[in-house]
Amino acid sequence: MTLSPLSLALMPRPDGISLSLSGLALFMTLCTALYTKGYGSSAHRPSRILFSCGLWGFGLFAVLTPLAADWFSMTVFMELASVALFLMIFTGDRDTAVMYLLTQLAGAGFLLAGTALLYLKTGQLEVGRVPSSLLPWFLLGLGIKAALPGLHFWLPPTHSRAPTPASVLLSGFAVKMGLYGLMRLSCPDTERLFLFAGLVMALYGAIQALFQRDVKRLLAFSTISQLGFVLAALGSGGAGGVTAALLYSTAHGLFKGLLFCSAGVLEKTCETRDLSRLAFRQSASPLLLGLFLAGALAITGFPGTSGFIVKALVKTALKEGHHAAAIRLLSLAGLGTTLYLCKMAYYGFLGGGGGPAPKTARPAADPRCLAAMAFLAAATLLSGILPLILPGLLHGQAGSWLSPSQLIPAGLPIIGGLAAFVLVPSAFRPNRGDIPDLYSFFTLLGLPGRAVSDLLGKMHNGRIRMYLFVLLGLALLVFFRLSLG
Amino acid sequence: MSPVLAIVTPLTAAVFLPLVSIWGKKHLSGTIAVLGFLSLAFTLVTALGGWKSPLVERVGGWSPDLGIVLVVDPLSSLFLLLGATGFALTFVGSLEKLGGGPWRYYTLLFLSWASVNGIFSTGDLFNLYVFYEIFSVSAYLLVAFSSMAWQAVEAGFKYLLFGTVGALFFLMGTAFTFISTGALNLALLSEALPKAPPAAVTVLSGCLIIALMVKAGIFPAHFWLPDAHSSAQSAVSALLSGVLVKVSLYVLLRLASLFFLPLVPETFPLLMTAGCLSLLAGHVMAWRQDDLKRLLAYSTVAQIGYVLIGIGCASPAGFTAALYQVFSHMGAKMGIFLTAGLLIDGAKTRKIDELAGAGRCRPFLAVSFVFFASALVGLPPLNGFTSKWLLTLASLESGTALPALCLVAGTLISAGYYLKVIRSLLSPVPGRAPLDRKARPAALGCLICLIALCLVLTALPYMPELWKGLTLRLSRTAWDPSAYIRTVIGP
Repeated sequence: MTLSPLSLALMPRPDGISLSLSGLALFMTLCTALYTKGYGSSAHRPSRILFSCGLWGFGLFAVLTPLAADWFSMTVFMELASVALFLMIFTGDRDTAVMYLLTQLAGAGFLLAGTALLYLKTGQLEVGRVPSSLLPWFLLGLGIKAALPGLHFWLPPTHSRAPTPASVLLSGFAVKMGLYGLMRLSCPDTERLFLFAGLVMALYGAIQALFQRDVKRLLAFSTISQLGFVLAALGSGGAGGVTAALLYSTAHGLFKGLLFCSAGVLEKTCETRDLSRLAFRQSASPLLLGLFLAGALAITGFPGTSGFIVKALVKTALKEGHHAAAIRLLSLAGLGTTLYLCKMAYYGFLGGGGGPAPKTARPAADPRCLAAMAFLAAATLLSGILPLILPGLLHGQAGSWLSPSQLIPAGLPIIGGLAAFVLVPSAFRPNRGDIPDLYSFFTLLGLPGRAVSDLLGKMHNGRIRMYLFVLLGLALLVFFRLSLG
Repeated sequence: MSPVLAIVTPLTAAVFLPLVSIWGKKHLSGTIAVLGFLSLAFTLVTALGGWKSPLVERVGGWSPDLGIVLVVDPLSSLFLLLGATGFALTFVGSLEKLGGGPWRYYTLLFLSWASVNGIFSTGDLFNLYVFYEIFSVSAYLLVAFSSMAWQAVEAGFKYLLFGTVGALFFLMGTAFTFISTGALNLALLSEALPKAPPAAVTVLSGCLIIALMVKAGIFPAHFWLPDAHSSAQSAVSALLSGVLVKVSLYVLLRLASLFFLPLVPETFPLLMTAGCLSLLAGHVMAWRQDDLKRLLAYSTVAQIGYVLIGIGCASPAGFTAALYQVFSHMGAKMGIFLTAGLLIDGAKTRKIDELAGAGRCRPFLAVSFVFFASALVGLPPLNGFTSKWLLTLASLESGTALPALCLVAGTLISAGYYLKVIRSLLSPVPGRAPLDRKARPAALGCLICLIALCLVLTALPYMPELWKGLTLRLSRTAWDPSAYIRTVIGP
């Protein structure tokens, strides 16, 4: 076999999945660019240049990733998008940026090896299902990007420590690139895995988010929880599973972007992300509060927002696949969602729980930030209202949106969550430290590596006698191996 | 065009320079420039001729079984081109930095150019050994020729010791070959060796492989390399890592296609294992360094491992990938060594921590460092990425996933240590004394040339027609020895 020439190709006729994700990438980049104008970046000029290079580079490659015709091009675009995001994070927090880049490079490496195997096995690279023997490579590669359970260790620290515009893009689109790959992969072989992983993520993310003090860390775990909903939809085995997953990830990009934007404004105006300290502030301006609420209602699945529609779609898909237990578990995760958003709203925006101490005022937010948030909120609300007033937009569910059979399961977690938050407020006070996540476990994994590195270091001790001895051993080994024949 | 001129011109220059230093000291730099240019021109013309149609020169008119034959086929001409590029850039950089003063240094450079051209074009095993020795001796002295006196001398001594051991193995292999077949010509040998006793073939191929592993600095025979490559002057370090290490790889490729492939295929898994070990150990050791040049030297050990993985695949795809990696590494590593040299000359220190902020004062060097580092790490779409992809494809095709995993690990570790350096270069350090910023236009020109080379290498595989023709041609010559044998002894 001679080596094929390399090529970067785009789909000649992209389908709905690719087009809508590309559109989302473009919209998110534009909103983030506007948000960044108001958010303000480093005073240092090279840092600013690096940041805008990262932003627009990310926009370009994020738009191209879903449009790529083959796995090779997709891997390349995805890796370039990660490098661009790395540049953005690098201007803020360098350690986090390095950690982020290394995890993404590992993912891309596995994906590339899987792609090579696919090419050798089938002779073509089209984005789509792959033979089941190659699934581990692809799942490992895409799983790091999409933060599958166990591979998610990089996500909470990265999302929380990155500069807010980068967090918006990370949660808003970067994780969707991995999900996009998983959507293309999904086949009967992966259903059980996706469903199981999705439920684990949805519950684990919600529980972790509930006990966070750092607003951005809370939102990062919320992202894991929401990605779990998407994966569960992919694993439902129902006819509408992929559509539900696609719409859920689009909607999540918009409202999670909005929530990260509001967290960024909080951080900027109050100079802290700690909920226990934000509690000593007066309540936020009505405009900011309203924009935040648009995102918060959408993420809990309040009727009239995009979250309501997509949650209903996921449940329909699961119903079709006869996974009643999964629906109940997701409702539980939905309860958790309501609770952690109540916590964020009450302590972060309403200045609640501060006690008798005098409250300090909040400076006003930059109008450009608010404008970017308004765009995101408008998109969230519009995509929530349109299917309600235009039945048939999502065929199959025409007219049934506002029936009690849809409204009651959507409303229960919200009402239940609100009631729990009002009745037992002490359980959700932001006064404890972080619950350990897998991140520290993965640093433990470095220990054997360190041992090997120390051993190698000891080997290079500068004694020529020893070096020659090793050389002799090598020679004997070579002769021994060759004489075996 | 006879390949003899490509060897004789630099050899004459090496002899001529001491005479000029006695009688015409004023014209020393001019003479060096002219002789360097002549050597470059003859080498390039030879390479071009060999690429079009193989050149054969029977030295003294003797037939192949008695005399020495010089052969330039497409594989040789590619390596001649590599050598010419590397030496030309080294000459330009050295002339600007040192001027014509240290004529001994230029004599050594010319001597090593002559021997390198000789190795690339000779078709005789013993002649190869002789050129190898000239090349090694001049390399020992080039390493020791430095301003950091005791370190460089120690490194040169270590290199000498290991080089001699390697040379002994090579000589033993040659002797066994001659004893068992009575021939020394490579083409004749590939026909005579199958008739030799198998035990003898095993022993002689073992000797040759060990010799080449030592000379190429492959783990665990690499101990001389980090010292030698880091203690020399930056221009010499660039030459050592960029070109001189590749000489052994050329010999390995040539012997692999002529002898090992048909006779001792067991060598290939061995080479693959050595490549993976070299890759991991080289990257891990580079990670541990706090001296920038030592870090780059260890990274060379790892990158040579990549080439070995390609050769170890024992397939046309693997050989092509190995060749691509040879060129890709040459462009990027020479560039990063020259950049590091300029930064180090400015800051007067080689410690990574003490170089903090050096990139901020010299933005072009910072950009070029980042560029070459990304090429070496293999960020898409740069040449390092392509070579990683080709190697992954080739190694998976040969049925093992281990090298692919090693490549992923290598990418991560190398990204880690290059980011460490880049962070230090870009970190803000208040109150630092201004760095020496002597303008070096020629050195910057060299860097731009190497960046262009990397970009050309990057673009090449994306042009389907050109790339297909190139790989077909290369796999035909590098993989299939019959064309080579036909050229030398006729149909």
